[in-house]
Amino acid sequence: MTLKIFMLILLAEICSAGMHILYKKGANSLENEPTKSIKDYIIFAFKILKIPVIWCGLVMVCCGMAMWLIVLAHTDLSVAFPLDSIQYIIILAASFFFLGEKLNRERIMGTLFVVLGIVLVATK
Amino acid sequence: MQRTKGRLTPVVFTLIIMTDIIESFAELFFKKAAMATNIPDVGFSNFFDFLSRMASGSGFWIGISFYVINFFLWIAVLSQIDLSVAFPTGSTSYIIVALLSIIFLGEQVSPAQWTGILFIITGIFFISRSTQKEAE
Repeated sequence: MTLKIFMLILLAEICSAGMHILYKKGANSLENEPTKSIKDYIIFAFKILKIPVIWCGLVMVCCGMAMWLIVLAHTDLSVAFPLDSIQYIIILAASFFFLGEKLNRERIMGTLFVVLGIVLVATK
Repeated sequence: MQRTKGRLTPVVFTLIIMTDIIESFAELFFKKAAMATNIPDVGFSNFFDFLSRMASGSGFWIGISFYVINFFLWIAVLSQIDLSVAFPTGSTSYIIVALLSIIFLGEQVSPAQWTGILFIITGIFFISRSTQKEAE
């Protein structure tokens, strides 16, 4: 893996983290919708599409996906996969700093377990 | 959806697993579509050529439609629980991929990988407990 590809992966990860944060910000503004019929689901979907922050997230994911396509064409997935664990740390920190989520000891410990697990699963 | 008070309820957990399964399939279609373009060296110069060749195949569009379904499912999940809960719980995809490769591809899972799976399950258990504490 070249440095260029590594930087591209890192940038794609940051885009993806940004997307999740913007999505969450948008989702927080949703009321508890009734979901009893198909009509309710369609109304719910349209409500999602009316949130501006969600669209910002969509733009971010498009940038990230374009980068991933280039990465995938260059590198084997098995090489790029373990690097995915960085994302969990970024998201944990971001949900604390940007979303104001309360992190207790159990949640931090659980996330660290997950990260360690991914590194073990993804490395061959 | 019922109000979950931020808890990782079975319904929310099932939704997260569903998004994982759909995403795994989408990525499979994208990988196939990317290889079918026969462009070995994709960079910024030939990127649009690459993209237009991808878009001419059906695999790319199947992948995209899976992503659209996932988008709505994921927002529904996020409207119920914290991102710091939803995101790590999504790591069940690693377990699903491991199980699928054993069942369908006859692949061997190494002891280190089994340990990793155990770690992921332990992690999700702790994260799920952290939401119960919060709700009380």
